[in-house]
Amino acid sequence: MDVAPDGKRLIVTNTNDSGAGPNPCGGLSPLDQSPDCQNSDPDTQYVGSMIKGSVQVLKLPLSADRLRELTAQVRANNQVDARSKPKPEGAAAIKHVIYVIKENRTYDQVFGDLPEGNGDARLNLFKDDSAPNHRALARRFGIYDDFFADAEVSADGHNWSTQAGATDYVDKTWPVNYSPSPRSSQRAYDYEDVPLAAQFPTEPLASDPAITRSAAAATKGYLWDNAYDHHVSFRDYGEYAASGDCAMPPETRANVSNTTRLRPEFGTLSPRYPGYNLACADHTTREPEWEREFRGYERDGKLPQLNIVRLPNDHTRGTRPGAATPQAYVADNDIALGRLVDVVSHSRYWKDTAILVTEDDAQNGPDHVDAHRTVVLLISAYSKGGSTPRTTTRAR
Amino acid sequence: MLNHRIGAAVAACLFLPVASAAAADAPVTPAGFRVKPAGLEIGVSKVGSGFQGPLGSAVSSDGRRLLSASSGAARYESADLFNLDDGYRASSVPYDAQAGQSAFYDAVFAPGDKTAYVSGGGQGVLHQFAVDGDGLREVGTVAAGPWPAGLAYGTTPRGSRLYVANNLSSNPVGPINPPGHTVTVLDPRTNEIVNTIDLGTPLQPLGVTFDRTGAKAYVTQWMGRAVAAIDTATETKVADISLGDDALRADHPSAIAANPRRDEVYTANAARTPSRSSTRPPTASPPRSASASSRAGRRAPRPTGSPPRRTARACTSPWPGRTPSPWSTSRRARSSASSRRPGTRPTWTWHRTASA
Repeated sequence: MDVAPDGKRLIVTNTNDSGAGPNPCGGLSPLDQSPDCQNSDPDTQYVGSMIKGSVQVLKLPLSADRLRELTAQVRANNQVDARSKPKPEGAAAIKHVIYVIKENRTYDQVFGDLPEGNGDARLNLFKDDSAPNHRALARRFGIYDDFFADAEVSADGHNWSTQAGATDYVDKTWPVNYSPSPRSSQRAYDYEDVPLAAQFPTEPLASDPAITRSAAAATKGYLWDNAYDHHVSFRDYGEYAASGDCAMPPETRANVSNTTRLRPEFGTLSPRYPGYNLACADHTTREPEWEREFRGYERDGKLPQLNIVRLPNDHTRGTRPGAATPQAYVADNDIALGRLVDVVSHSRYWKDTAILVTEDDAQNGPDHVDAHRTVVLLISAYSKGGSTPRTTTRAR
Repeated sequence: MLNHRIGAAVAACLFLPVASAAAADAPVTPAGFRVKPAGLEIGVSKVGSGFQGPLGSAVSSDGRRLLSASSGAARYESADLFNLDDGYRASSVPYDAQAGQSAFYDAVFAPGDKTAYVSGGGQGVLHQFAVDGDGLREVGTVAAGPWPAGLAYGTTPRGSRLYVANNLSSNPVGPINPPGHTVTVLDPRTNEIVNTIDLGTPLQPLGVTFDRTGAKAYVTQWMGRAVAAIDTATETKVADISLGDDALRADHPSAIAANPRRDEVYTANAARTPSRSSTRPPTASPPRSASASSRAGRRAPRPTGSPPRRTARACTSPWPGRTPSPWSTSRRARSSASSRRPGTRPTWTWHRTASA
C-alpha cells in the first residue's frame, strides 16, 4: 500500500484479485492428451499460479464518514451479513462432530458425472471404480456443488482447515516452496506441524507464553485452541502431527505434535495414528486405529465432542513411476471413509453426531467452475439427500 | 470447444485497462457474489505471465508509476510497472524459476525515478532497472546478501544508501535457508556492499524503512514482535523496539513505513492489529500502540473444570538434552525429511514442455 506523493491518492496492490477460474487442464486431467490441454500453459491451470493481482487507485479517505462507508462496502463485498443464517434443523441434536480432512481433490474429479450436480463428466477421473463411497454418500446425504476451498495448497490449506485463516507469513512464502524447481527448494515447508528445533526457540504462544510455536502459526484460534478455551472435549487423529511410522506395531507407536494444544502433555493426539505419510494406508492403518478408539468410546460413552480425523491418501502420488496409481490411492481413501461412516452410523452416537468431510485444498485436479471448487460431505441422521439449491452452500 | 470455454471465462475475469471500462462491470466471484471495488482497479490479463502474487510495490516520486514485485507459485515471477495516470500495466520483466531466477517482496525507486530495484529473494540479488516512461529494462543484478526482501533507499549521514533486509540466511550445506538476521548496506553509486548490519537474533527481517531524517533505519522482525532500530551514522543496530507483550497485537510485524512529517514509523502486524512506534529518542515517551480495539485480545474466561493445563515445567524444556541450536545438522536432516512432501507441491509432470 502506498500513498501517492501528492498525498491525495491511496494506491493498493492486491495480491489475490481475480480468483482462479476454471482449470480444465489442471493436474491429472482426463483431457491431458487433448490438443487443448497439450497446448495449455501450466501457469494458467495450476491453482497456485492462476490468481493475478491488481492495482487499485482511490482517493485517500480522510474523514471518519468516508472510512465508515468504505468499511460498509468491504462488509457488503464479503457478504458478511449474508452469512447469518438460521441454524439448520437437527443442529440442536448434534453433540459430536467428526471432521475428516482429506487432500487435494476438486469437485469435478470425484462428482463430475453425477447428473444431480453441476459437474463436467469429462473431468471425472475418480468414479464408481475408485470412489464409490464418496459418490454414494453424496447422493444419499447431499451433493454440494458450490463449495470452494479457501486455500490454494496444503501450506495454507491446513491452516484454513483448522483455523479459518492463514498468517501473512504463510501467504507470502508458500508460493516459493510450491514454485517449479529449483526455486521450490529455497524455502522450507514449515506451515503445519513444525519440529521444535526448526522453530525460533523463544517465540511464545499468545495465550501461554511457555509454549513455543512456528512463525507460520497463528497466534491463537486453531480449532483445538478454541475447543480448549471453551471447554469442548477434542481428539486429533493425524492433523498437525508428525508423519508417524506405520511399520511399527500399533501399540509401540508414539506419534507426536509440536502444535499448541496437541502436544503430548495434553493427551489430545492419538499416538498410534499416523499423520501425512503416504506409505501408511488409510484403510488398513488409519481407519482401524480411529475405529479402535471409537469402539472404546462406545463402551465408556466418552466420545469427544470434536474429533479431527486426517485421511490424506487421496492426495495420491500422481503418476510417479513405481508408486500406486492415483485410482488405487483414492480407493484406499474411499473405503476408509466408507468404513468410518459405517461404524458411526451403526453406533450409539449416530443420532447425535455429524460427520463433516472436506479437502484441505483442491490443488491437484481440474474443475470447470473454479480451481478451488472441492469435495464436501455433510453426513448425519439429519442430512437431506439430493442436490441442493446453489444459494445454500456458498463457503466464500 | 474447450478453448472457447476458457476464452469466455478469461473474458469474464479480465479487467479492461482503462478507468471507464474497469468501473463498468462489477466483478463476480465463482460463487456468484458481485463485488464492488473502491476507486479505479487496474487488472491484467489472466493469460500470459507476470503479476501472479504481487507482494510489495513502490510509487515513483512524481506519483505516476508503480513498480511491483510478484512472487507467485508460477514458473515466472515478475517485476511489473504500472502507468497510474492512464491505468494500465506498462511493462513486465519475468524471472524464470527454471533458470534459478526469482523476485521477492519489495521494490524501490532511486531519487529521480530513472533507476529502480526489486529484491530477488532466493536468487540472492537485487534486480536493477532503468525506468524510462513506460519502459522497464533490467540493467543488471546487484549482489546483496542472502534472501533480499525489504528495501529502503535514502540519504544517511554516510551519503546515499540502499538498505536490504535479508529475510533468510545462506545455508552453506543444504538448500533450506535458516531465518535471517542481517541488513545489507549498499552504496547505490557503486552498487557495492559497504556494510552488513547484524541484528542479532535470527528473526527473519522483512520490511525496512528510513525515518524522515535518514538518521535511523527500522527493520521489522517478522518472526518476533519487535522492530530493530539502526543508527545510520555508525551503521549498527542500536535498539530493539518492542511492539508490546500482547502477542495478539504485536506478533509478526511485516510492512513498515515512516511518517514524512512526524517522528513515527508504522508497522502492519500479522497478528490482529497494527502498531505505531515513536522514533523519538529513548528519553521521550515509550512506544505507543495505536491499537484501539481490545476485542481480539480479550481472553475467554476459563470455565471451572476445563481440561487440565499442562504444568509449566513440562514446557520449559520440551526436548531436554537436545541442542538448542536450531540449525544443527540433525535439525536439517529431520527438517528435510518432514518438509519434503513428495507430490504435495506440483511435480510439474504436467508442466509440459510446450515452451521448450
